[in-house]
Amino acid sequence: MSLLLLLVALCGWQCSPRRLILNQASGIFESALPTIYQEDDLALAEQFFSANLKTIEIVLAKDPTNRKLNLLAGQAFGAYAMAFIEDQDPERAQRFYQRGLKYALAGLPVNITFGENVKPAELEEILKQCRKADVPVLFWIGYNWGSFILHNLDSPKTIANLAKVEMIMHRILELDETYNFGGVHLFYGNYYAARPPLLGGNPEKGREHYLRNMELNRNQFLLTNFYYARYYAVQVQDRALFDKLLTGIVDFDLEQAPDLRLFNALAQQKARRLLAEAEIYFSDDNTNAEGEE
Amino acid sequence: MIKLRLLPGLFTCLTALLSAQTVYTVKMATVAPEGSLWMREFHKFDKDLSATTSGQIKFRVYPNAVQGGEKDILRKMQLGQLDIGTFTGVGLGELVHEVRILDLPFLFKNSAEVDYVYGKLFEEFQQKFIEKGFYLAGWAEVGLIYLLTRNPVSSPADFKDVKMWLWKGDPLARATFDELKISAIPLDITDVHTALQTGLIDGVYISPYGALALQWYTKTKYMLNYPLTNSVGAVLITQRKLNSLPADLREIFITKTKIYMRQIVLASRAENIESIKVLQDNGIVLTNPRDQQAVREFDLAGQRTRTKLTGSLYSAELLNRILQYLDEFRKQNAK
Repeated sequence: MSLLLLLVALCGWQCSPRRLILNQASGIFESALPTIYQEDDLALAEQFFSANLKTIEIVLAKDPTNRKLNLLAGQAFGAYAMAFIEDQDPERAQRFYQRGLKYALAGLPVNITFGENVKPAELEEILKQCRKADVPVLFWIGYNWGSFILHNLDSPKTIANLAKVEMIMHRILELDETYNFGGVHLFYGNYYAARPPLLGGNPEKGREHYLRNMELNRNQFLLTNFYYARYYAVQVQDRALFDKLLTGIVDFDLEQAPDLRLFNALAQQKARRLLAEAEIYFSDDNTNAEGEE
Repeated sequence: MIKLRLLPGLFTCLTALLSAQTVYTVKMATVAPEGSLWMREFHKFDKDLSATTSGQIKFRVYPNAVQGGEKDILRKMQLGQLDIGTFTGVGLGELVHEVRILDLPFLFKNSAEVDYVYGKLFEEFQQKFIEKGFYLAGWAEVGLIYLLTRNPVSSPADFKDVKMWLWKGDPLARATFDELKISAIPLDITDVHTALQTGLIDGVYISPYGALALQWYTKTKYMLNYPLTNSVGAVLITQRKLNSLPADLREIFITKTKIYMRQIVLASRAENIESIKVLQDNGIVLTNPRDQQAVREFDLAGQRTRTKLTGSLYSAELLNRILQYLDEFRKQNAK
């Protein structure tokens, strides 16, 4: 039985006030996260997440306006999709990101609520009112939304929202660049490096953000190194950097950063896969691209 | 008994024969990113081609401009490192400069006119590309290009105070803006977003989908609902690659490419129409030319641009022929 259900069952649904219990339940899940992050057995971590995702939704159904629980659901769906689904089943991952976005949006404080259809000018005004305490909910909105858009570039309605995601991330950068392992820098790294310059990308700016993230994490949060290789090194066709980053990840001793074992084990899995298919991303002659028109 | 014992051997032989069939790898590069309409349609093409040729033609795809911009892709095709690529007027014009005639401003009024004229010119241009070692596999236009500005524009005179972006090194846009008396600011495409933010420029030209994808729409408010031009595009295959394929495979490859390129064109037009609606949903206001006089002034600027570029980019004969085709088409459709 999962953690949340266990707690709720122990108290019983008749306990009052119910909201207090639900908040405690989400608190338990949150406080469990550091322990989960130390797990280097990916299968075990995946089981924990998949068991608890549905539980969070069940608990949330009892208290659908609970902001804290909604934020938790947004975080859990987004993180799970990135960690365990995206590589194998991108379409399924999209549905998870969509669900994560829906929950994260419902986690916004009443004074700064907005939905997917907010106009850029309106969002700009709303974001001005956000404070440092709002960073977690803003981050998981931006994270789920951005990940969803990257898989749906063929929909004009969806791609229009990328501007809104960028506005949200820009505000996070102003308020707290360190939240979630410097996640905002990882976002900007991918945001600039994953697209060619002709389509709005800027590999060098992307590189600066990857490096800043690595600095914030003392170069121990290896998912950043992975995306640095996956997007930046591929975009500028730097095979040497690509190989150096990925083999560095694979050779990393997980015990050097016990609190990050889960992320780093995940980065190692992703790095091994990427190394195996490297030839898809590089041309035979291995020359550097010479920029855009 | 003997027969039975022979069977496994026979099977091994057959399998060996089948697997001995040559697999032709075709390397394709494009600036379109994975997840885009272009790539989505291309994957369908890839699947179909593989099924039709029993896996004898295999693509190796380089999306997202990882092989560089159009000129890089072209160079790598000439060196034999790539076999097939997608190009706009910028890349196509490097090989056959008169193809830029199809990018002229205020020439086409709608996509039906584009199809008619492109159809008339296809074989002629194909011959020109063959002479350069490339096979024109099919048109794949970028589509109609519109002007987006911070202040409303409904006649050429309204451009007086617009700080318009000019794509650095684009002779066609320069000539057009000169004729419209727009003092444009030349910048690389990568600097446009920042320039819009800082106010260095407050007017751009782009496809509706591009305005969304590059987020330029967030820094503009109005779109002139009278297309500036229809941006040409095409898919080229190296003659070297085509000639290396057996005749039957070559035939299938050429036919399928043309069919799928047409589908991509139609899907991309639909995408741009939807994009205009999304732009409006996000606060962009569409303006129409103020009156017939304004329409005439835009068209006259187009005419002057055409005349000015005659001789340098294309011949008067080709221009006249295109104008004749257009006239012919408009008359047919006026009936």
